[in-house]
Amino acid sequence: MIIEVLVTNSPLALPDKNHIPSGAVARFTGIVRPEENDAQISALTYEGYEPMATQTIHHILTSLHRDYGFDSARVQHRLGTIPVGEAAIIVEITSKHRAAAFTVVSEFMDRLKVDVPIWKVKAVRS
Amino acid sequence: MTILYFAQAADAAGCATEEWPVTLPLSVDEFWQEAIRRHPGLAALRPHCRIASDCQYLTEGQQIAPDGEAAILPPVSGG
Repeated sequence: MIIEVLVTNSPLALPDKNHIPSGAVARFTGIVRPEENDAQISALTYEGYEPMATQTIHHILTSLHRDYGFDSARVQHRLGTIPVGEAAIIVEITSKHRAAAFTVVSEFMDRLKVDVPIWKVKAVRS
Repeated sequence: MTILYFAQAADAAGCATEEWPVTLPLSVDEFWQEAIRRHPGLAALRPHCRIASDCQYLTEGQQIAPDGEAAILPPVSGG
């Protein structure tokens, strides 16, 4: 199993990899929307407790690996001010079959939104 | 003890970090009492926040070492 986690202030980039050993690759990209709480915005600012966020993401993925046995996981989360249209998070799971890959991506996002210490702290109005 | 405040907790405390000169471990309840004594605005956040020490979430019965790091974590909203 391979787990790669990056919590960064830089724009996200998750280059394609050679996934020949896996039958399925599921990737979710979360993009900053132009509306937040019914207001038009130009950017969102995220804050994080970076070492704990990284560690907690690892723990969640390790737990999901025990349940679903995926081949690899790559997660990147961006902090700082992110312009509308740019990625705040990318999650990529590879596995033998598509069901596990889809399930792990979905369950990971659910658990991230409960336990990973990252916050949207400010919306920059348009 | 190094204290870290995040998001709404940092707003309520008026700072992101501070040092407490404690020499004995603090229970989670004692930690909250001290935090609210220093920053009364945190009282309203207490029911919604979790405490972490050295990057691990704590439960009520656990303690924080005097030379450790403790963080007040409001409900998260990543992704």
